[in-house]
Amino acid sequence: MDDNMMGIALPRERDGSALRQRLRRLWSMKITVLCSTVIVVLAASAILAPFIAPHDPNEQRLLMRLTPPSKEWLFGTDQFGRDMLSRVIYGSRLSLVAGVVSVSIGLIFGIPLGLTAGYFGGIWDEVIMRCMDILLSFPYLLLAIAIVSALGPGLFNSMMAIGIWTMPVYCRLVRSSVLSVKERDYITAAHATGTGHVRILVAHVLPNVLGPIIVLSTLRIADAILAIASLGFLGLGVQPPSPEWGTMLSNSRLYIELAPHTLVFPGLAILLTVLAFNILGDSLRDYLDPRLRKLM
Amino acid sequence: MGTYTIRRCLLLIPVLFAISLLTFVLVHVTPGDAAQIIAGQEVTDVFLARLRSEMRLDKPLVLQYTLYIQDLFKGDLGKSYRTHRPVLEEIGFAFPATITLTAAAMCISILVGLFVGIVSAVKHNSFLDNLVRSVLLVSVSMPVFWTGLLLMYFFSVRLQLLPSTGRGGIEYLILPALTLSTYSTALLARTTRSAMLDVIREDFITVARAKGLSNLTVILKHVLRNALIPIVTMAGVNTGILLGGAILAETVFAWPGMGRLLVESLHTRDVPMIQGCVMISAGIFVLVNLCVDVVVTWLNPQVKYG
Repeated sequence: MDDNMMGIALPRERDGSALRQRLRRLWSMKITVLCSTVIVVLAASAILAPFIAPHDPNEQRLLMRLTPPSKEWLFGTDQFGRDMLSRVIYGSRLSLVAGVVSVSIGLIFGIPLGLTAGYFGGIWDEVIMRCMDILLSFPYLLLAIAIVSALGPGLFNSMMAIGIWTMPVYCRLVRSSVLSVKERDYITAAHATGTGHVRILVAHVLPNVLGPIIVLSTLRIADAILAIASLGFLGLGVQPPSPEWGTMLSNSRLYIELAPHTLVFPGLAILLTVLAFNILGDSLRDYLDPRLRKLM
Repeated sequence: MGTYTIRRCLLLIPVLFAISLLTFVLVHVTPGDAAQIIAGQEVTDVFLARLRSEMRLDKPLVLQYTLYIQDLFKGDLGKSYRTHRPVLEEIGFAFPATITLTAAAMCISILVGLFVGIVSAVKHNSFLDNLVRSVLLVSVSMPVFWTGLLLMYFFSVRLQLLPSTGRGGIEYLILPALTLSTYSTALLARTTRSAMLDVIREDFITVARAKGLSNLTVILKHVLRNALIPIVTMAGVNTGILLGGAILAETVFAWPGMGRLLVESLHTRDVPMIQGCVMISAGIFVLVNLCVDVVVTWLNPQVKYG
């Protein structure tokens, strides 16, 4: 990778020579590449799960219960003798899909609300933003838990819950960006040429917000995957026997003395996935707009 | 300043109402007949009808809410479907456990988070700083319950140093509090580090150093004092994270707090209990955020008391 591929002039740092800066930049590129690779591998294993998983994730072998890792069972087996490796691989399907879908739900509702609130202002803005404040006044995860308790447990309902939990963050971000571009000359010009509101919002305002949205989405996917796993761990998310990482860990708690291997791999899978999205989000933010550091 | 505080307190009332309404609606749209769930399958229709009217399920939703709010003002959160005891009493038993746990985690996160953040900022771009940043990044990506399970495995199962579940002396508190604090410690450390770095670059810090003040004085009196606003704001955010995270930490360590009460109530569909737990957690969070806002305005003379 050429270190000047983005063509961005770097601010000169007080300490460190040019060489050190280049090295650091290369390092940050490397880690970004590494994280993207991890995500691509995860996505590939999610798509190709039926082909790469050595066993059926739900097949029970009661004679092979809680077998420690070996050549045959790389990650060992769980309390029903199911192959942990296959379950972790299939679990990447659930987690990635759930992460992406729930963030998309947040996007789909949050962006139009934020755009219109910032653009039209007045009572509409007031109503929407107060509603978002209410949604944000629940402690971490509690809103998602309350929504899941209303809709009932399950994958789809958890995704809805986490989507709604994500929505206000998008709404606020988009609104604040809209407020900062609303009075610009090119928007006035668009008005003067008779462009409709919808077109102005989609063609002139939205592109200004894309960078922050991409950054936020990457970071929010990490949060959503954590939240899905947490709901699963509490028994409110994906229901057994579906191989979900959080649900797998809630079972491994019962066998912590007998079979500690059952708690290693699902947790490691969650950590790796979330870490990859978090680092990617951080590097994207630093590339696209370092000023966002204050916001996210 | 005084009027600002009063205004913020008054604004709290509609927020609390909205939280109660949202919680009420969420909990009451639950599919299925709550009376049937409590009574079980083997009951007569007459008994079910009586139970429904006792639980006010035969009344329209709006009236149910009005009555609920009326009771709320009397300090009555209803009766648990499961134990048939007042919700407030049940929460009263669990509440001290949760407060102990979150307060302990808060102390750890403030002490460790501030210290790590300051050291990391002072030693900016050193090996130590890079190491700290990597550890912090891993800490914010760790699922709370996995941290808990790992700690439980190493310290209770392997080393047998600390008890794995339950509540008792201080030894019972250590693992749950550590587990709960990891995420917020990392967040606080990251915020402290970047807030300190912003201030360190300012001219008045160079002036302070030029005056010949010792490094420690500059860092603590000039840098930290001016970096306090984002740090205090983060403490408010952290309260929410701790209150929510407590649900997970309590489940891992069977800590008899409000979080575990909530999870048990969710599994048994104990509506008044769910409602009570959610309302009280959200209420505490809103109150803490109010305090944080007031402290921030007090710290920052530039904020207009609007």
